[in-house]
Amino acid sequence: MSWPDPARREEPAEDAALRLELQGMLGLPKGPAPRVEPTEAQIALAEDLRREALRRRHTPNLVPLKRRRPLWTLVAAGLPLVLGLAGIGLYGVQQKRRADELAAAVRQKEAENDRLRRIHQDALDRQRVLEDQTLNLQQASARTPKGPRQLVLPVNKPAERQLPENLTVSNPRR
Amino acid sequence: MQSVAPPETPFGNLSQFHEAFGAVYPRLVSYARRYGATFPEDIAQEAFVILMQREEPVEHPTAFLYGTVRTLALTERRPMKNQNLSLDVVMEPGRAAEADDLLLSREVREQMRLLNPTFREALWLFVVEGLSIREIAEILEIPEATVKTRIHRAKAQLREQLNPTGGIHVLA
Repeated sequence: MSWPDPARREEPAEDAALRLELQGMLGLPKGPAPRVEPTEAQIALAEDLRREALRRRHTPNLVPLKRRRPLWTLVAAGLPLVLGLAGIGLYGVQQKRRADELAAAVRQKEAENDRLRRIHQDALDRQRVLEDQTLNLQQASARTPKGPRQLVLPVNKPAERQLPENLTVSNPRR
Repeated sequence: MQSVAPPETPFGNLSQFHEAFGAVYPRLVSYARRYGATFPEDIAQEAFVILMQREEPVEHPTAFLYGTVRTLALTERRPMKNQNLSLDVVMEPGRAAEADDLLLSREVREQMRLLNPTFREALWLFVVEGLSIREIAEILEIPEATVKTRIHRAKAQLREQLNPTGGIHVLA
């Protein structure tokens, strides 16, 4: 074997001995294979392959031709996907609309609640003010000093009449 | 200082390449056939082209060729999974009859057939193809120690086949 083969040169002696032993066990001819001269056909084939390798090396970015799929095949393959996406889109739009309506209703309800809460709060405030005023009056009246208690009788003012200068009064019993 | 020109081919100059091709190509065809390849010649030729096409030098060109053939043959076989062929059948020496007949006698082929397929593959590459442990490890993508273990186990199996009552004799 004249062509260089680093692995064979570096092979340990024990491996070579093992090979010889196994060759003996199998009844194979011992030692390396006899040198055989390549035939003309083999040389020609080797040269063809070498040229092919060089050709490929000089066209490294050569992309193998791929059979293009017809457009309708792609469309047919993509149609279910497109339909599915469209369906999902429509469903999404509907859900969005419903959500917007619900959100508007909720906002309206909240505004009404706020209005009622404000009215209620105003009423409470007014009542509190009245209660405060009453309490202040009571406290003020409690603070004023009081004299001894006096009996006050309501008196009707007597009717004024003009008495004559001389009036004769007769006693009817007499 | 004069720079050393790189070799024309991974095997050296053109004449060395031709010699290597003449020695390795028939073995690669046989190896591809052992993996059940439908077009083993095409696979072996493609492996050579892939090797020559590489810009970076390959440390072990022979191992690279065997590894590429193995990969291509297995890839070619992939759509044929339904045929339910196992590695045992694939690595059957009888599948490459015309190639193996040149190398192995009928008894040897029978002995090889009885071996565990995993051990048989390593043994075949080591003894029949004449590859080194390192090359086999590269081809099978396993550690060198595993290759050695497989070869030694194959040897033990072979020894048992050749002398089935050997153990009893030893004990006696």
